[in-house]
Amino acid sequence: MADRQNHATAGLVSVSVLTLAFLGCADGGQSVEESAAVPVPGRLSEMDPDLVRHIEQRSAVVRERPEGMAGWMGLGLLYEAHEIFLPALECYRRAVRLDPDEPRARYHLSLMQNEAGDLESAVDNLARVTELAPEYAPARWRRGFLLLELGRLDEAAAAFRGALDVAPRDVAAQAGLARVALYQGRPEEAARVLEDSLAAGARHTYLHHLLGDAYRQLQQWDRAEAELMKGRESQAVWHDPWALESLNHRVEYYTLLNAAGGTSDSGQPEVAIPVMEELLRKKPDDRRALSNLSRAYLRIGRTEEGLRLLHRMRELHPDHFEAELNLAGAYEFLGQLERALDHADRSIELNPDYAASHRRRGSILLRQRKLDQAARAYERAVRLAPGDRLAWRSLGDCRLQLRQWEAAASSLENARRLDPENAEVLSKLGFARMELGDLKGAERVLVEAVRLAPGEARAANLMLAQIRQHLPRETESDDR
Amino acid sequence: MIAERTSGLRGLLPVVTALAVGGCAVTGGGESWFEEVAAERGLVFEHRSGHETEHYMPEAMGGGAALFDMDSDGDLDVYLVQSGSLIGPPGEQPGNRLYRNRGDGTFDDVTAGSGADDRGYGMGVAVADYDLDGDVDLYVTNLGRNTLLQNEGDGRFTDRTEASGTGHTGWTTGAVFFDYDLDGDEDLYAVNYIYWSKESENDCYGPVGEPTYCGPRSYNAPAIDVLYRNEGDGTFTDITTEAGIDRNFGNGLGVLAADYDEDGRLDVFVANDGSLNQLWLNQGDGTFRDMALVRGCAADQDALAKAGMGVTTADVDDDGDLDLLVCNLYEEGDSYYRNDGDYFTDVTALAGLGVTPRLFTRFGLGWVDFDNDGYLDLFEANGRVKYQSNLWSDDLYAEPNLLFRGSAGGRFEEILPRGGTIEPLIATSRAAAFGDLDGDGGIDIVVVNRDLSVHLLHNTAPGRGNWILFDLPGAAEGTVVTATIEGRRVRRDLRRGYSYLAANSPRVHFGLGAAGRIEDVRVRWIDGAIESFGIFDAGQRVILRRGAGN
Repeated sequence: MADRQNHATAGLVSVSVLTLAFLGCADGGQSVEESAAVPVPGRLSEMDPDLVRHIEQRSAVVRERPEGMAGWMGLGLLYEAHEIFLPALECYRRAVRLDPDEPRARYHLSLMQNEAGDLESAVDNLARVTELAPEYAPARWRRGFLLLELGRLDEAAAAFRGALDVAPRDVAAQAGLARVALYQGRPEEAARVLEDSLAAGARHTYLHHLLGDAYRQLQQWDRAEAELMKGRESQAVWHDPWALESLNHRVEYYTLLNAAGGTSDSGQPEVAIPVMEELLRKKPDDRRALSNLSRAYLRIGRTEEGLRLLHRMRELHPDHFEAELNLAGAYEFLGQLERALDHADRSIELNPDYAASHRRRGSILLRQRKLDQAARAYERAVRLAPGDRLAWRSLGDCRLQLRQWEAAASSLENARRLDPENAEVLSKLGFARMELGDLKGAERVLVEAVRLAPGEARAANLMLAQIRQHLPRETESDDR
Repeated sequence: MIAERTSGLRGLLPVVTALAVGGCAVTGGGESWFEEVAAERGLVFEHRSGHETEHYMPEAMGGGAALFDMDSDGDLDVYLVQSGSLIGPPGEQPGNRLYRNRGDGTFDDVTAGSGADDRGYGMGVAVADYDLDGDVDLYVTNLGRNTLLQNEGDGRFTDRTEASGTGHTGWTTGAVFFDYDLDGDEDLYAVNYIYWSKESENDCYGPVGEPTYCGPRSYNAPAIDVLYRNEGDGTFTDITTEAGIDRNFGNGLGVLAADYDEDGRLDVFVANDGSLNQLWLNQGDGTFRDMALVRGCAADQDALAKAGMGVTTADVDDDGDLDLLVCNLYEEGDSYYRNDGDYFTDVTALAGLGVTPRLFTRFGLGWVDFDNDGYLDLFEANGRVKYQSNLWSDDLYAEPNLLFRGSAGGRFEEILPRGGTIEPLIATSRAAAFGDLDGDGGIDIVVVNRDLSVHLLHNTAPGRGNWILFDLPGAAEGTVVTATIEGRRVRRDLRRGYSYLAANSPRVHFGLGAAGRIEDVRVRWIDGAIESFGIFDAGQRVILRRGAGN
């Protein structure tokens, strides 16, 4: 209780303190009356100039029309998009004061209160949001998760059930209910909720993590392990359109560059390219922009443009390995393997400890059928980056082609550990085990490969047929 | 105080803005539990990261500390690990420092001529009498070659790295000595962070476009740890591969050696930064198996592989087994893994640690009974690794520490003023080492701060209860002491290796509250032998020698 009082008091204090604080950050010469209303973060001089310009523009809007709720929302979203949380919180507070019945402003206010650690206020605001927008399930389950964090389990369960009332197949709410059950020592109930959700087609891998937790508490170790592996490195991130609104307000150069890089890497280079081109116009020498845009060009076959940018990058940053590495990749893609190898070697010369350069070198050598050298390059790559699943898989490939079955199996085991649901890896591992005479071991992984990729399991099925021809005889021989 | 350091409202901004964070006032109300006395006690040391303009990641991580009795005179001396510069020529670092306790909790710098001034780019330190000659040796972890310093017993240390075979090169962070094979000497586990070189450094930027330190994932180079077997003749053998430790990897920082499955053998827990934690269960045949995922301490309830920094372990809920606490980065709560026998359950929120810690980036930490009420409290030493828009001081990375009072069943409540000092100490803190430096029965803390003076937090907790400290000469990491305090059975272990880059007091401390004595004291030595030592009055340091009990 004492804690809650502290929170409440500090909440009140923070408004006036922030208001005072913003005075100190506003441009010199402004009067108290003018600047007191507009929250401006500190250290503006160290921020991206575009971001500062946008802050100034949006601040001007609210200064001119302080009674306009949309202006406060716009400034709040800009701050939120750049993780400037306390000024964002203050903007949303002003927005809510101007229009207390507008649910989105209140929703963002609750998000910022959560960021500031004021969960009690966030919970209260989310309760009000659910009254204002009863059909918006994320407000309900988000409140449930905050209540979970506060240890108020029964209230959390009620919030999750409320979300399911308005969205019966909401996966976040189902996961939340399962978490409450786990906290309350009812793993059977958690398992039932999660099994039902998965059976109904929910695809979120986090559900497997939670189901693994439930099976663990039920001491069903094998099932627990299988589920935990499936849910490994999953994330409890749920679809919440209102929370994503701020992403559209990103203006800072590197934030946009990272986002565009992510878009390109996730298979939409066409969408990312215009953004990247615009960014490169702002900073024509920026290594990261050159690198990202060249990769995007190469992905969609605009090879000449990609290579031109990479060579420019090389001229601008001659001592940095990245241009060499990217050139190696580009020329390998074009089938110019000798040229690719030269660039890979130069990349390694500039930075011998970068695993991806060794992996690239291995890949080029493998295509040149220089298997021993390729294996050595991949070995170096996995020594530097033991989590590089691609390097382990390629090392396994090399060793298969070298007919080094034991070493191949070992590499592919590592690849499998890192990528347990990769049917190709399992298939190759099955082949290596077959060659080692471990027919039962081979059968196990091949069955799994077929299960994971039934449409692409021709080779695995053929091997399985062969194994099954031999396995009975082996059994007979054992019997004798 | 704040106004004196700054001028005008602009200067005021960072500090006052920060007051709003967390929804809690940071001053006022409550009494202080600690006072900062480093300089007046003679502990004069300023850590240097070497940061100039580039953001080299090792600059964000270093600063270690050890509390150990270097001269066997019964009090705790202090060893502080310096980093230095990544730009200047190697071998010209300022070097680590050694401070001898005068016996009253004040210190003399005795580095000169001691041979303890290792000049690597330092990270942390582990301590043990590895050669069983009766005095405590040091293992210093570095970016680059680690160093084994053998204590000669006369105030001098000899570099035995090459002869012992422990000079791993790479980026080692945490390390711990422990007797994994129960052969009577302590082996060594060294945690590696990432494969890093200046050439592999990336350019990273924060959310407002400012250059900042990269996260470990951006290097995609998690490292494999190293396990050395002590051969008993002054040498060690690298058995990483044969022990199976190379079967998994991560961006390792904190490390613990403890028996989590109560099979009589010490296991190893490694907190990884941005990758799944490892729980290496000792199989008893010279091998280890990582069971963190199955046992439930690899990730948190959100399946998130958090940025594991420091670690601590103790029987917080008095059920006889060891629970685990990992602290993490800003926006990630602590991970309190309650040991439920065959598995761990993440009960962070239920323990009251779900909210406040996640507002800070925590490194050094310890479950320690500071107020001697019989329940373990929690201290967390904080400091950022990245720019955040709300600032606490002119130092972009500085934050206050956190102090929580523990109560029955393993629940925690934050103590204000924040961090337990009357004026919150705003610094970029890394290692926190725990021990009673002045023999008054209160556990003190040494905190190493990046690019700032070290802090010595003298325990002044109000209404501190009775206490007793047990010294177990020659006892190994993981030795268990159990006792009854007014009908309640309590377990405390001998544990030097916990927190972050730190080696802590080897003494076993019990807070007794109002009880005037402790009863039915038993020691379970590392080989499983159990001895009873009976009843002791409060307020003393008692030596429990093996064979002297029943």
